[in-house]
Formats: sequence, C-alpha cells, structure tokens
Amino acid sequence: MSDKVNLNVNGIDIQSDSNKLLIEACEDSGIHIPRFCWHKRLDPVGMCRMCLVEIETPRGKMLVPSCTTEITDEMVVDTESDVVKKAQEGVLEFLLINHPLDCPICDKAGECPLQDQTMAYGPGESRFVEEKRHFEKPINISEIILLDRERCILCARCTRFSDEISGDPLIEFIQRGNKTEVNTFPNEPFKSYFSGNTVQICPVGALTSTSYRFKARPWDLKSTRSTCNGCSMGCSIELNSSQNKMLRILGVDNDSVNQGWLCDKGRYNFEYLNSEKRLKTPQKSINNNFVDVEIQDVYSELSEIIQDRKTKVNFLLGSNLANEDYVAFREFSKSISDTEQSFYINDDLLYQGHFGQDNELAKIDDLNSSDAIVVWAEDLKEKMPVLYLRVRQAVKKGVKLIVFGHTNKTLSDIADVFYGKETVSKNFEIIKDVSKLNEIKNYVIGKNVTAIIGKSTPQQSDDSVTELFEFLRSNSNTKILNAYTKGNIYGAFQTLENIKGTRDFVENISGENTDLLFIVGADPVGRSFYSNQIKSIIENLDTVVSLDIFNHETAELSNFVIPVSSTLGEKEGSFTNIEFRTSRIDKLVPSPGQTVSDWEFITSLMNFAGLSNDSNSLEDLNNKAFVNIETSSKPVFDNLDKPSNLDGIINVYEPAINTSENNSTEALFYTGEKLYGDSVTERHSESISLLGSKKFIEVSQDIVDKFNLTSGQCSMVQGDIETTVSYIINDNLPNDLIYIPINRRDLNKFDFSKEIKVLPSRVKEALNVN
Amino acid sequence: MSWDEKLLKQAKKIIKLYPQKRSALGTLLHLAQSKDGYISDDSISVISDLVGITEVQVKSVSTFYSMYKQEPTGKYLISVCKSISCEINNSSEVISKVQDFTGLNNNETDEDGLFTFEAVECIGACGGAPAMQVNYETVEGLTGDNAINLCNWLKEKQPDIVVADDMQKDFGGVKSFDWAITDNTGATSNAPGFQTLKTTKAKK
Amino acid sequence: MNETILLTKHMRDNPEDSHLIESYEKNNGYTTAKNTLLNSSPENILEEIKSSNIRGRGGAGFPTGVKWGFLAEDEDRYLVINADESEPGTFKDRILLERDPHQLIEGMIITCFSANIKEAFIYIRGEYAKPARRVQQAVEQAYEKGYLGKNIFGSEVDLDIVVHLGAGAYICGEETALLNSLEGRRGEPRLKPPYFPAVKGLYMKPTLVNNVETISSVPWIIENGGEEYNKLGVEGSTGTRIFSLSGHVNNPGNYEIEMGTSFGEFVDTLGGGIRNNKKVKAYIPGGASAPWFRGDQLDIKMTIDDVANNNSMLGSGAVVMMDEDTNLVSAAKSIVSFFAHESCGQCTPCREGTTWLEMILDRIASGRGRTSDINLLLDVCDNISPGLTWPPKMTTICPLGPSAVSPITSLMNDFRDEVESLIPTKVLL
Ligand SMILES: Cc1cc2nc3c(=O)[nH]c(=O)nc-3n(C[C@H](O)[C@H](O)[C@H](O)COP(=O)(O)O)c2cc1C
Ligand code: SF4
Ligand code: FES
Repeated sequence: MSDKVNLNVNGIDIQSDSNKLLIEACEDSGIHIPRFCWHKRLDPVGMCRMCLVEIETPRGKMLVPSCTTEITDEMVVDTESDVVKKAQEGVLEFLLINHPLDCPICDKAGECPLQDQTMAYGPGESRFVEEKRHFEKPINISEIILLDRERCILCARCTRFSDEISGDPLIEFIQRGNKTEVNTFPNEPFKSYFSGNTVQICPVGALTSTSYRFKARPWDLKSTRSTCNGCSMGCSIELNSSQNKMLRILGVDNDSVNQGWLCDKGRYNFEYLNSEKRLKTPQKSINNNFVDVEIQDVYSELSEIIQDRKTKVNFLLGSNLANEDYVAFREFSKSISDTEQSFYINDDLLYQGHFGQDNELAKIDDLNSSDAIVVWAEDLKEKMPVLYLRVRQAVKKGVKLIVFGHTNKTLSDIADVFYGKETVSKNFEIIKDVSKLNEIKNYVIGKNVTAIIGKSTPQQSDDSVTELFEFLRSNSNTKILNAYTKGNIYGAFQTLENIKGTRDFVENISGENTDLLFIVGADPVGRSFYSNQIKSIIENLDTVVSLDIFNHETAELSNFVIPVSSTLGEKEGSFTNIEFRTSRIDKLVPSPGQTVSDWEFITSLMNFAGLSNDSNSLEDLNNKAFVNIETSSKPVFDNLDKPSNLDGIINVYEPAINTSENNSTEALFYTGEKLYGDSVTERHSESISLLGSKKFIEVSQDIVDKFNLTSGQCSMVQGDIETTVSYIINDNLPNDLIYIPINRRDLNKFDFSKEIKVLPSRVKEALNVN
Repeated sequence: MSWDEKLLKQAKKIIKLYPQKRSALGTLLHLAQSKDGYISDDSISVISDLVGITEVQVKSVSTFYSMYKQEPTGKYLISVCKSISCEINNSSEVISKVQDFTGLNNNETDEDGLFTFEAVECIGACGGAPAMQVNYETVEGLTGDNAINLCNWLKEKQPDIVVADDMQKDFGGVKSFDWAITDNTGATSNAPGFQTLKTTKAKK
Repeated sequence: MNETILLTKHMRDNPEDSHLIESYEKNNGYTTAKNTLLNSSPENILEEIKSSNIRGRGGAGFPTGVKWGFLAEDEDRYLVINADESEPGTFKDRILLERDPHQLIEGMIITCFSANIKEAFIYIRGEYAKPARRVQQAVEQAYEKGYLGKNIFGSEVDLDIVVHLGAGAYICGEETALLNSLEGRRGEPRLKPPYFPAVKGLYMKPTLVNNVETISSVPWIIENGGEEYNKLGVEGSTGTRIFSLSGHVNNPGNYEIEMGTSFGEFVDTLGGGIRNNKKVKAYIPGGASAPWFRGDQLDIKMTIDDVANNNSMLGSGAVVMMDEDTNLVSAAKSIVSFFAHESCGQCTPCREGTTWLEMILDRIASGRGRTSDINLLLDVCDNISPGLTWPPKMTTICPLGPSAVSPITSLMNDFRDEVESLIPTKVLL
C-alpha cells in the first residue's frame, strides 16, 4: 500500500494515496475537475489544459494541470477560484472556435464531454468571427472506423491508446500547431484489432464507428452491464439498445480484467443479433428438408426416444453457454443415466492442463506483479486480445517477457526472449530440452513467473506443454494461467463433472454408443480442425438435435434444430473467465420468434419426459451451479449482484478434464485461428465480415519457390477438395511448414495429417493463356 | 523499394551514429529530401522499415518540421524572411518583388520546377535584414531589386551548387557580422541536414 | 563604450581561418582542454564554473554551475548543445558556430570531462547550413587529431560528438522539445515536472542541455579561472555576452560586451545610433519573446536582473530597435504570427489562441478592426497568460504561448492610441 497524504481542496481536507495525480485524488473525493485529454488508463500528457487548478506554492498561487501534478502532503488546492474558472472558460472557448456546430447530426451528442462542459463551464456566445478550420468531412480510416477531423480537439487519446496500449501506432498527429490533425497513413489504414476503443474514448464525435453511426441518440438508449463471451477473458461490457435492438457494446473499466478495453470482435460481433437470418422456429428434417414444427412436438418426439431407458445420449456443447445452461444439461444427464456422463466441449485444443494442488493458479493481475511472463499458448493477440493487452501493460511496467511459438511474431516487439520459427519447427522439439535454453534462464530461475500456458495447435503433443511447465515449476516460483481461450469454457469446467474435447469426440463417438446427440451452440463441421471426421460421425447417428442461433453446417446435418437466444444480451446468467472469475451476464433485448434459452429447452424437455427435476428456474440452476464451491463468496446471483461484486468473484476450482493423451504426429501443417474468421455469428455481423474472412495461407519463401507461386494466389488440393487462397510470405515460418488459419470454412475441410497439394492458382493460369 | 544501394548504405551509416535507431529519423528525412526534393510516401515506407516505426509515425514527424517538404519543390527554394527585424526593414518589398518575378504565391512551385517560393520565419540574419535564403544559403542586406537580380541570375545560370558567399558578393548588402574568409562550399539541394553523416564517429 | 573580447578573440585575430583547427591550435587552442583532462578533476572544473557565476546564454539565464550540479548519477549521461538559435532578432550563436567551432568543441570536451559524459550532440537548426558545415568539419578535424574519440589527449577520457541538424521548428530550441526532436520525434516540449533534462533527458537519461555561447565560454573560464570571469560584468550578470543588435540602427551586428551598461549607451556607441537620426519608439531587449521597452526607457541597464525588474527579459540577448516611424501594430503582428506558426500545437490555448490573436491583429492592421477587438485581444491574451503579468503566468506547457502575448501587452500598455487609431470609428460594436 502506498502512503496516505492529506490535502486541502477548496477548503476541504481530503486524504489520498500518495501516488495519485491531483485529478484522481480529487475525483476520489467527489470533486470533479473538467478534463478532455486525461484518461485514467493513458499516460498523462497535459495537453488540453482544461483541468487547470490553482495550488499554493512558496511563490504564490500557481496554475497547474491537475492531470499531471502529483499530489504532495499538505498541498493546498483551489479548483474553483476565479482564475481557474476563467482559464477553463478560456480553454473551452479555444476548443470551440474551430469546432463545427453539428451537434444535431453528431453521434456523440448527448454523451459528449465537450457539449456537456460547454453547458457547464463555457462562455455564452462566440467571439470568434473568422472562418473555422475545415477538413474534408468524415473519411474512412478503416472498414469500420470513420474520422471527422473537424470535430477533433486533439486530445491525443486515440494516438496514445494506439501507441501505449495496443502497440500499433497507426493513427498519429500530422502537421503542427494550428494545422495539426490526426490521421492515418494512406497505404496503411487503421488496421488494428483494438480500433473501437479509440471511438469509445474519443471525447467528441471525431472517431465514430460505421456500426453505430446515426443509429440512436443516447437519451433513448437502454443499457445494462454484462460480460463478453467472445473468449475466456470475459471482459466487462455495457450493452446498449434502442427499440429492442442491440446497437452498441462499450467496454467497462473492470480494473482486474479489461480495464475498459475491448477487442473489435468483442465490440462489434453483436450485429448478428439483429440478423434477418436468425432461426426463429423449431425445425425438423424430413427427407433432407427442414420444416417448421411446434416445439411441443419436438419435446414429445424426443421424450419418446429418451424414455426408452436404453437410449444412449451424448452432448457436444459449445463454449458460449451460460453457466446455468451447462448446469441444466448436467442435471438432465444425471436424470437419465446412473453412470457419470462425459460432456464433450467443442474445443480442439482441450487437454489436461495444470490444475490441482501443486499448481498455483495465476490471476490476470499477477501479470503485473511478476518478474517475468512466459507465454506458450495460442497466439494471444488472435485469441485473447485483451489478455494480450494486459501482457503488454505488464511489460511496460518492467516485467520481462518470454514468448514461444508465434509464427506471426505477436509480442516479438516487446519480448525479451522470443522463439518463433525454432519453436514450431520439428514438432515443437525445442520444448523437449527447455533446460538448454540459456536465454530464458536468466529471466526465470529463482524468479516469480506467470506462465500463460496452453496448447497452440491441435497437432501439438500434450507433453511439449508440460515439459515447459515442469521446467518453470522446478526452477522458479511459477503461477500458471492455463490458456483455454474459448468463451465460457471455465464455466463448463466449474459446472460439469467430466469433460472431454472434440478430439476425444472423434475417437469415442459412434452409432454404437450414441443414439441421441445434443449439439448445443456448436458448429464443429464449420469450424473444427476435425471437421470432416465429426461430419461423418454425425451423419451416422440416429438422432441429432442442434440448438443454435443460426442454421449452419452442423445444424444442417441434424434431425432437429431448435432456435435459441444468445448469451450476448438475450438471457441472464453467469460467466466464468480464465482466472475462474464469475460475473453476471444480463439480458437487454428480447430474442426473436420462438427462441428459448438452452436451459429452458432442456428443462422443459425433462419435465415433458417426466424425468425427475427439481430445478425449474434460472435461480435454481444458478444455485446448483457451483456444487464444488462452498464459500460465502459462492458466485450465486445474490452475491454477484451486490454492487461490490460487479467485477466478479474468483473461486479457483480443479476441473475434471478427462482427455486422452495426445502424442503428436509429425505435423505437415501448422493450423491456428485468426481473430476474425467466418464462423456463423461473424458471417452475420456486418462489421466483422468486412474485416475478416479472407482466405489465405502463410508460407515461407522456400514454399513459394518450390511450388512456383507467382500470382499471389494458389490452389490447395486434396482428393476432391480444392480451394483457391491467397498466400502471404511469413519469414517466421520454418521451411516446408504452411500455416493455415482454420477458422475459415473452406480451409478446415482438409485432413491435415495427409498431404495437401499446393499449385499455382488455376485462375491465374487461365488468364495467362489469353 | 525505391532507394538504391548507395542511398541505403548512407542511411545505415547514419543510423549507426546514434545510440537509438529512431534518433536517425530526422537525418534520414533530410537524406530522402536530398534525393527527391521532398518527402515522398515511398521514402516514408523505406524509412519506416529502416527505423522500425510505422509509416504514419514517420509522416507525423516529417510533417511537424517546416523544412521537410510535403510536395516536390523546385531546384531553388527561395525563402524570404518575414520576422521582426526583416519586417521592420521592409522585407515585404522583397517578398512582393520575388513573388512578382517568379509568379508564385507562398509555398508554390513553378511549372518548370525551377523555383519554390516561401516567406519564412527568422533565419538568423537579423543584423543583415532583410535577408533570404536560396536552398538555405543565406544572402543578407537585400533590396527588392537585388532580390530580383539574384533570382534572375539563378534562372539564367542555374548553378548546381549555390554558394552563400557568391550570392552575398553579387547581390547582398549589410551583413549580420563579418563573414571573413570566403567559402566555396554550398548547397546542392534543399536538404542541408544529411551532410552531417560524414561524422567520423565510426573511427572509434 | 568598448567591447570586451574573450569569446570572439580568436575569430577577430584570425579572420582568414579561425574556423580551422590549425589556426585554433596555433593560438593555444585545445591546451586548456588538454591540461584539464591530464591534470584537473571533474570537481575542480565544476567549482570553477560555479565561481564564475556564469548564467545560461540560451534565454532562461539559469546559473550554469547549478545546472551541472543537478545532473543525476547514471552510467549513460549526455550533453546536448542547443544550437537551435531561432528567436527572432538573435544571431549570436551563428557567429560562434561559423567562425569558431573549435572553441565550442573544446568547451564540450571540458564540460563532458567535468560531468563524466561520453556522448554529446550538437543540435543545430536546419537552416544554418553553412554553420553546420563548419562545425561538421571541425568535429572531423578534432577526431583526426585524436581530440575526440577514444583516449583523448592520451588520457582515459572518451568522447563522441554527433552533429545533428534540425529541420525548421523554433520550438526545438526549448530544451525538452529539442530532446524529443533528437530522439526522432515531433519537437513537442515535455512536461516539466517530471521530465527535467538533468534527471530524465535524452532517452530518459540525465542530460545537460546548454547553449552554444554558454559552452563556448567554458575554455576561457577554465583557462583564466572562474574568479577572473566573475570579475567581469556586474553581480548576477557576470562575464561577457554577445548581443545581437538589429532593427533601425546604423551598425547592426554582434557585440561582445560586459553586462551592465545601458541599452542607450550600447546603441549610441557600438550601434552607431539610430538610422537617419530618428528617435527610438520602442525596442525589444531580449528577443521576440520579451516585452518591449519604450524609447524613453533606454537608460535601463543591460543586466539580467535590471531588465527583469522592468518586467521584461534579457533573454537571448537580441536587441531590436524600432524607430519613430515603425508601424508597431505590424511589428506586433509579425511577432504574433511567428509564434502562431511555431506553436507545436499541444496546448489548446497556444494552438488556438496564437492563431486567433494573429487573425485579430491582422484585422486591425488592415483597417477592419472593431472597437471590441481591443478587449477581445487582451482577453484572449489573458486566457493564454492569466493576469498578463511578467514573468508570465501560463495556461500552457511551455512559455511559447505566453511569448505571443508579450508584444500585445506592450502595445496595449504603451501604444494603445496607435492601435485605436487603426480602428474605424464608424464601426460601433
Ligand atoms: C520556446 C523556447 C525557445 C527556446 N529557444 C532556444 C534556442 O533557440 N537556443 C537556446 O540556446 N535556448 C533556447 N531556449 C532555452 C532552452 O530551453 C534552454 O533553457 C537552454 O538551451 C539552456 O541552455 P543555457 O542554460 O546554456 O542557456 C528556448 C526556450 C524556449 C521556452
Ligand atoms: S505553449 Fe505552445 S509551443 Fe509550448 S508546448 Fe504548448 S502548444 Fe507547444
Ligand atoms: S485533462 Fe489535464 S490537460 Fe487535458
């Protein structure tokens, strides 16, 4: 804890931590000082000069910016003197002389600090009779972000965010003095995974998103706080809707988790909620045609199957369910079977991990307080973008960083030790003799290490991960953050008692042991590494029931498709993130047509089938969710809804993951996922679909030479599968290894254990003939 | 990329002068300007690679400084001072006469690519006001007419190297101080800054 | 009055070749540095500088010995010579760079020895092409002789000097902006606190930033002793200073004098009086940032303190004389335009305010002014520099914004009639 200091502000004595800036210390005591450029999460620049206050000095009163002034004991401050007021009015007038008067058409109007402060502190009429500064009005600086330079007040929030926080300085001040503007470079638009944050923190309407532009006025917005289920980070969010339509997501400053930031996928991948293509009625496949049916009929047909006591039922659950949904399936399974049932989670990378008593689990905040961070997992920037930001933040504070295995150099700009190529080549052999890696020894031996560890690709052996972890554990004081990246997978860990992944699904499931399969919020045929195998398994099952938001490649193979509501804004419940932090998800908009929640469906089915059931409400399920947690901080709704718990409650728990050992085979391809793909929700969110689903592979130069690739495009052929993709040369790939992003439907249909032919693009060849 | 080997070699030498790569940015921009007469987007890309920052960061720095030109300039950059000492010594006459002669407004380049005209802030020749620079070679103690004569001479002779002492002798007047010995070094472009790269730090 | 020639001695005695090392050495150049490195100690040097009581010649007039004493301990420390000289009216560093660069280098060697610095930079404004070439040549010559590089003069001392050219930005004369510029960034001043160069300077390492003239004075001080230097000039303004005299005088130029005489005497003797025997209407005592004095204030003494006590500053030592025919509104406008053009743009009041002031003055100067413009001008000034006092209070990060206010307050305090006379009386607003 830092020391306390006493100050006197406007005649009132207040106390604050000595490391605070004056503006924060005042804020904490309820004294608001107006500001534009200052942002709690950015380094202070003291540029706008709105926060000027007077302090007493030996040389008399002095005007200082409260956002850059560190407090000292016995400091005497006046935030309301005539001099201060005059200065603030002056600054506002200066800001307004070149600011357009277009509030009536500006997205920001109604929630605009400039507008608000003009009302509160501003001068009355304009004394500026000259012509205002003009810029071409709004310019697209990316597919989803617009820049209106006339409105910009040059607070440097966007530029600082990009430089300090996200580490991709693609937006900057251009020119100087009165001609200063923010802009991007012509060939290099604002291609950042985090661009939406700049829209959120822009204090005026200079940066806007195409997604929200002209959609609503703040005064008719409804809002609620919830948790993003995009990845296992579980960022705190605010949902905004108007007229029952979800319109916007904002980051909420949860100090321990996302600190206000979101990735653009988390921010904009809600647009699917409003898609016309949403499933609205239950459907049944009759002779390969889906027809609408009444939900009661579904219940009765399924009841009949279930009531046959010999029926063998299995579950393939997605990772975007709420905890309460998982519990409903658990209860259902218990009521139909005496033996303990496995739940298959739709995750290609699920493996045993490192839990249990001799493994100390890390919290996200431990990143900041450790000596070193070791990352050996899926590419954090692509899979857990906000955790990636937290790693960057820790490094900025002086924590050392060691990174293994990223073919696209993520974090190499700030890593103290970076293993790229070496790691992925020859089946991750580098890990097998970690103890020989002298470069990392200095940073870890005898140090406090936070290890973000998980599998980075399905072909990787479980051993290789364990190898590194064991090395760290025996040489340093290591805390581990097991890097399962998918949505609410930690919620599944907490609520289900026997968990397996898609690889086990492929190994275990067949018509022999499964009569009825529930696939819930999962499209493995469209997305998984095991797409083809899963497809043929499903095709051979008697009855398959899909619960989903959209029809998709997996649902199409099912006998029944049940439309369900989305965990994002259409239902209540709870979510558990990578550090076992459970927080609330909330409902803001109705879901369309006859949609039900997953838990409602399965609970109704239980009742219909006459199975014993003592949990009929969401609260019942929530109360039962955390059977293994018996503390006062059990994350039941009553607890979570206390104002002090809005940021969530952590309950560390040892999950029952029962995957079989994966001994790697020689990998011919390195598969992974990029942030943006063409999963079913992404396809139906316009902003994301503009950013994402381009089909490409990454290759080393020797592949280009070997296959005579010249046109920028090539064909990949395996049996009767053929697809044309563009290729990108990636120097960080070992020779002969091709990187394939498999969160694209055309690219996950291959069998990656067998050869895929790479040919110069036929399209181009045809052109050459002409 | 459009920088030839020789230029890249020079660039790498410049980078070596500094404890941190990014410090070389200013000098590299001068180097880029010595090549094209302005800072092209292409050079920005090359420099961003060399220094390891983004293109827009390079652009941000280059547009901050008035000597880095954002558009192609003429062979001779004529910069007439308009700051206080020159202003009260009738620099406005020099400015208007040069403008008339060249037909150029402020910050314009003529069609032949011969002259770029600009009225600039103090060039440190206040004792010899009014003063101007041609490719940053200073001429002091001007009159409107002499400024025209100078421009005319440039137009007719089109020297490849512009030498302050030569111009001062033929067209200048009162000086800020005694220049003493005459100097035969001069400017070959509107980018004096890259010359510092001859620094012999490598000798260590 | 006469000049007192220390700094400009070598160049005067050797007009043909004072910038070359051969000439400099022939006149005992580098012997002080050599003696220092071989026989003195860093502490001794610092003591001499302190006892000389020399104050910085860049404008702020901060005691140089005190500044050196503030330099924080660190393995890497830097010296940066501020040769960005861009304050309108000032051309004194130009002569030192162009005519006697070795004196500067010798001063740097001694300074770096005293402060245990191994890497130094000379940041020269980009427009100083010829001075930069001369300095560059001098640095190369010094390397060739072994006066720079490793084991200078056979001692244990190493020093590298890099000559760096700016690219047209007055604000880079402000020391923290200069450091940003030298780091390859926009020349924007840093926040002080916390970025005091002596603690967090170049690359966040302790850095001495000193003006060309300040460091060029070092060899003389060390050769003759701080006490000797202290005897020159007057208390609080010791030693000699090069003043740049310009404007409506018969003999504009650089003059090295001891501080303490009056501006009037300076102009009448060395300056040869005002051209055409005109009277002085107003004059600028210390560069464009300084508030003006009236023609009836010529008896003010040329010392840092006397000028300060009269609510202006000796600043960069640039004296600009404006005769009775001068259009002071145009003069003020020229200065305000300068600051508007050179504002880095960080601070709202400077970025927006200076341009606004320029627009208002332009309106007035061209006969389109309104009566209300006078109060408007003053109020905009007040919003940049509250209270319009001297030294200025600031709503900005650095003093550039408030500098634009100086000519306007001068104009309004002493020459209001002149402004009002330009405003058409018909327009009642
Ligand atoms: C706007 C502004 C411009 C300045 N320009 C210069 C300059 O051109 N040359 C200079 O030596 N100092 C200049 N200074 C002063 C420097 O910040 C700094 O005080 C000086 O380099 C310190 O050197 P000294 O102690 O030797 O004077 C400027 C200050 C400000 C605020
Ligand atoms: S006062 Fe002007 S020049 Fe100084 S930091 Fe602020 S904007 Fe930049
Ligand atoms: S909030 Fe302090 S200067 Fe902008």
